[in-house]
Amino acid sequence: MLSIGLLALSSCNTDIDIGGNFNSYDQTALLSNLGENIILTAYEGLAEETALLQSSTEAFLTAKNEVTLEALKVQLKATRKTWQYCTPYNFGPAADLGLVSNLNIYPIDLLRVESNITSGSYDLTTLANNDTKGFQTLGYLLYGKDQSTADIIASFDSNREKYLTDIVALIDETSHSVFNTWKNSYLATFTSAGANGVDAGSSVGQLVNTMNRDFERNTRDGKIGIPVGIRSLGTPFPEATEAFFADYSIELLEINIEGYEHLYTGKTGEGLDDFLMSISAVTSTQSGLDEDITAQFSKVQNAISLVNDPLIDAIANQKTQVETIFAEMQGLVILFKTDMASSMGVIITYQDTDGD
Amino acid sequence: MIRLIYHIKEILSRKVSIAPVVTFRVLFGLLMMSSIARFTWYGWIDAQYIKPNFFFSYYGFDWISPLPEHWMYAVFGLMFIAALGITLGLFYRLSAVSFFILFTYTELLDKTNYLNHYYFVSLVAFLLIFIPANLRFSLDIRLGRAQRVNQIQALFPIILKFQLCLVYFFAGIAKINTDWLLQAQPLKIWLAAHVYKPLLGWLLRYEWTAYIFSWVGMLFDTIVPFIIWFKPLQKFIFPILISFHLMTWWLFPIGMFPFIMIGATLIFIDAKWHEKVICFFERTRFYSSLANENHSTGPLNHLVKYVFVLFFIVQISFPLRYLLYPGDLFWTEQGYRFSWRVMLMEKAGYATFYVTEGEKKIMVSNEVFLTPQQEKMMATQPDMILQFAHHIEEEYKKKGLVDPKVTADIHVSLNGRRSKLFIDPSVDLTELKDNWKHKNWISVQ
Repeated sequence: MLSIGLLALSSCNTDIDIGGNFNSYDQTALLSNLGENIILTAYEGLAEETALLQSSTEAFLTAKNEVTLEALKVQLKATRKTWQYCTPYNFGPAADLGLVSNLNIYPIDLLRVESNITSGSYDLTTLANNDTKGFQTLGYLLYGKDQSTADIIASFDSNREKYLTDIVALIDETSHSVFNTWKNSYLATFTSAGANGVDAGSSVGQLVNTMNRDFERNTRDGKIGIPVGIRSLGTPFPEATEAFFADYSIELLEINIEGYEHLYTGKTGEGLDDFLMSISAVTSTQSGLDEDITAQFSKVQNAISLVNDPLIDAIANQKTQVETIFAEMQGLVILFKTDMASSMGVIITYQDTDGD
Repeated sequence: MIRLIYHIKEILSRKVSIAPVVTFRVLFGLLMMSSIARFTWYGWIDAQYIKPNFFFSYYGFDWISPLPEHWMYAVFGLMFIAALGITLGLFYRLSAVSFFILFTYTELLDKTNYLNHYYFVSLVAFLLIFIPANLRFSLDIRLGRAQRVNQIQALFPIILKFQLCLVYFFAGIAKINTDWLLQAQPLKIWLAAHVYKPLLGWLLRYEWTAYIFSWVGMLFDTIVPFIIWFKPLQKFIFPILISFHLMTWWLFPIGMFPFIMIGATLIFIDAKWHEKVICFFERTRFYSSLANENHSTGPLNHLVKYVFVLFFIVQISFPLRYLLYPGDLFWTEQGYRFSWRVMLMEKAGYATFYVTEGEKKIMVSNEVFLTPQQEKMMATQPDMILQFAHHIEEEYKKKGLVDPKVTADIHVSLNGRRSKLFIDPSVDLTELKDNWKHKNWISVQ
């Protein structure tokens, strides 16, 4: 068997066809493009914006008025937008440092937020405080619900100021830690030869598994499904929308999908699509998977474009359209989790075990 | 015909050296001890038997349920002691019976964890109960609990060899299908996943390699059971067999299976080799010569004979039950388990369940009820889909629904084909009951 293999090797310089289709894909290009230009760039953007969020917060607290509040709200939105490019990568430093839980858990526990503020003593890093911090809590503090701007500004006593400062600091700190860890050490791990392949410990294996989990649970269910009522017998659950207080959920979703597109296409460089096309030329019995995934991305985007913020109103007035977004995202999950993962040989499981 | 039966009887009752079944016993015991240690070390007792809130029981075995929390650790602890007993030949029959019961019990808890080699282990453990493999090189003899013998009826090593041959043979003929031979699937997918491995990874970049592996694998599995019996061929077969199994271990996440197969097939090697090995460990060539060379076990117990005949019939026919079902076996998986179909297909599925009552509809979060591994296995196996649907029904009844409908939207991709709808999405799964009949709600591939 080995001799036949050697024969094939000796002939590969002259005529690759003698070995049939040749799987020549080099993952190094894929991993370095995704690592440097997509993931690290996303974290860099996030860290830049969280630093600005920090300074806008300071500016607001130095001079509490409508102008500084508005500037802070604008900065919060800008930060949330850059976050949307980071959601598929909840592994490595992001998972270790608790990026998602410090930045974007929703819905939040309003009673607990208020009791934290009143008491002034809390440890935001505990699990119990997962739903009392992050962007959604910031949204609550800055927008309130049906409150006038003047009332909001007036509500900032010293305890509330401290709470605002603390959650912003935690957002900024975590974002910078993740960015720095990626830059200084994890990028090298992610792109190293040892992380090539598609099995459980490999970069592609990890990436495909985490992106699927995030897309399914946070993008499809979290951003649309749960608010529209898939978990509550069709009864809408408005508090569960992302940006419930700030009312730009759809806009965030749109960017999140773009983030997934970046990962899939690799923007101008190598992306999952290149790897998929290269490998499925060998492994897939039927073609057209890449075209279908691209088409499905468009379907999701078209469905989103038919709906306007605030999402809560859209759910009330054009529920069918919102449900269409959900259905199209479901179509994408199926393509990602079965066809794509299977063609790549990536095992979709978050659990380690033997097979046979 | 009668002559043939007579002839077979004569062969099976011939006296042969006990040595091969003794080394088999020791190796099996050692492999089981290391398997149990490995399983525990990886935290799988917790992941597979304590964490899950729901278990996919086997048809007819829903009365078997896991013990509470830490008692599962006790089960594995006792299993380890039983494996030690088998290895040392101490309280051998009790050890073999306990090991068989404990091991089979854990395997019957959840079909999510079904692996062919676990089934193989159960069967071998069952056979060991009847095989007097402790009558040499054992503590039972050292302690005077049993009489040392040098010979036993040929039936005993033969039934083990027969079982091994069936594993290879059925694994071999299962590979005779168009995907495996003409498309080299799923090996194309699996090998492409390993091209980045050091040393031999480059070899897997060639499409031809997948074809060669497919054909060699098929031929190897189908032919080995016929030729491994012949001594002159064994010096060629064993190096191939060992490299074959090590190759599968290198490429696929199949745990202990390759080592169990390598260890078990050593039984085919000539008894003299086993004698030498045992004498080496006994360090008592002198002692050996003192024993009565002809000392052997008494006549066979009739019960043992009938048990073995029944075992033989079941093992030959059960893997063929798939022939009674229409449709593609790999797609429907009707009659798939317990048939030595090892590493045969790449199947990935995605299942979304809906509960409806009247106008109200809810999408089920599978992860609330199932572990990731359970969810993955369930999504491609119809009987598990049905079981889960019934579980969902019960859970939602507890939440106050009266007569919920459970439907499922399931997409499955098989051997590199594009995913397709797996079952009829309009069927109310709560109205269906699992049985041996064909499941006509599975879509045609």
